[in-house]
Amino acid sequence: MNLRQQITQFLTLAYVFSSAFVAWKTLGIVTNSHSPIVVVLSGSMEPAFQRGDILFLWNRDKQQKVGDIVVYEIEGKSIPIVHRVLREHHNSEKQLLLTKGDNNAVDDLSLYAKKQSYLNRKEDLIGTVKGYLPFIGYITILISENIYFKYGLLGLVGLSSVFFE
Amino acid sequence: MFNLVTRVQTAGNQALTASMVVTGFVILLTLLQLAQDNVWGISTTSITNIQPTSSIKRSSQYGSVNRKPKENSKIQFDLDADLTPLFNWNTKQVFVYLTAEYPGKSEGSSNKVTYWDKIIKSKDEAKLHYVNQRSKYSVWDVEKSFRGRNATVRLEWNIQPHVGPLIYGSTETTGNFQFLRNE
Amino acid sequence: MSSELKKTNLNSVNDLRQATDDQLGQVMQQFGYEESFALIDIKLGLGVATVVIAGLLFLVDKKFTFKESYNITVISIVLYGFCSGLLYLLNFLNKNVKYTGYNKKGRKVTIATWTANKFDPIYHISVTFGDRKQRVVTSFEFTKFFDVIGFFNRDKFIELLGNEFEKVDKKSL
Repeated sequence: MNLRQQITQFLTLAYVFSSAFVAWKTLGIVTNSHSPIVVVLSGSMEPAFQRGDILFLWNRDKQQKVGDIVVYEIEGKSIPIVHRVLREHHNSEKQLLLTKGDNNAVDDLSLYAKKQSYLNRKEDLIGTVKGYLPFIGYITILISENIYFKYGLLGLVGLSSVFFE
Repeated sequence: MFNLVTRVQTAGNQALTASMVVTGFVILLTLLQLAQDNVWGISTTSITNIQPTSSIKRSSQYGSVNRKPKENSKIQFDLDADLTPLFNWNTKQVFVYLTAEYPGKSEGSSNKVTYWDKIIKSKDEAKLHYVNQRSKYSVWDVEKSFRGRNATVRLEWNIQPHVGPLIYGSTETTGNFQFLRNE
Repeated sequence: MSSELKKTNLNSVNDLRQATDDQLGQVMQQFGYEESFALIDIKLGLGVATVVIAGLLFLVDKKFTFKESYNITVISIVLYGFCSGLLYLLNFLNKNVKYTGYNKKGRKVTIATWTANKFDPIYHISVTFGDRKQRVVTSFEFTKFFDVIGFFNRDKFIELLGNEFEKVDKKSL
């Protein structure tokens, strides 16, 4: 019986993590995006988005429209960029996009890879921004950038697990 | 201690549920408000006196690849628009942009470019009146020239709410021009 | 084993119920029943399966890109949902069941226990014999079989249960 009790206790703890993880992956599959929720890191889309805003993405639109705000990744660069579609050219098979941040003076041409003049909708986009929540994401920025906040929060989590049954 | 943790947990759960319900309400009310203000049927816009210009550029900043000639297009235009219905209690800002849509070379291909855009922060700035306004951007096509095609010009808008989904639309009036033949 | 030496927190109705549930195995032994772990093992198996599926998915997620792992991810999510659903169904059909056992004649007994809320120190118990042919539903106050220090009085509990069993059917024990 002791083994069963141990397994039960292990499962209760493991269930928290496994269900959260599966829920996240399900959201990714439903939206067809490997990162369906992102936090705004830069100010290049101000005043629309501020650092710390949370964006909800959807990646099942076959084509984007001018004016859509998209999140894209450039090969070789790890940080995703959230900017607005300035121009688009498409035929029945593919779509090319040129983007620009609202708060930037020029378009994103200099941000793309060498020899890349446009974004390819199918290859480069992580998703389109459909909705957003202001401010809340600032906590995640605090956690990753502010040491005191990070350890303070870790300490709280550790304390609470001690007091939980 | 046991009691404190349980209470914090319960309070946290209730706060989360409450904020989700409130957010849902806010979004619903916003959409109703917009529908009531008929934002998707603004017909008071006028886009006239569109004058295109054309120049050949050879720098990569203007779309040229390996210094080959690339036709760049700009326009001048007159614009009158009343976008005040777009502003309500949940509007953080409105992004307006003037677009030109024109066909491409092959069947089923199409292009849309932005000549001019502006961020409107409040209702007071929402009445637009421009005469002989120059476009903000120099625009180029995927091909080396626009081949004198016809373009339809539209004024489109995007409402950024304080909370909720991004809302898009365009005004009903359109303008026309033809790209200069400059091959 | 030496569970007589374990003290239970008399102020927590949850702890009292849990401690009594743990004793059911030895109590029912006095009535001639051996505990069967089939239901528990199936539930544990399903639970472990969901964790394993999630763990494997995590490894796949680390090694492959989103596009490469798309199909595997969908399959994993479906399997996870299936196991979770089964587990939920089992729990629903066997609400509050804490013990299943068989006697030498092959007669099955299923015991469900619960407390009405966090504050009333009353132990509710429902004992079903041989596939719902006979059922004993009763309740005892915890004070009847826990002493003031917090020790469980097994003999007293067996006596209380035995009385209830006799009331229902003198023959079939």
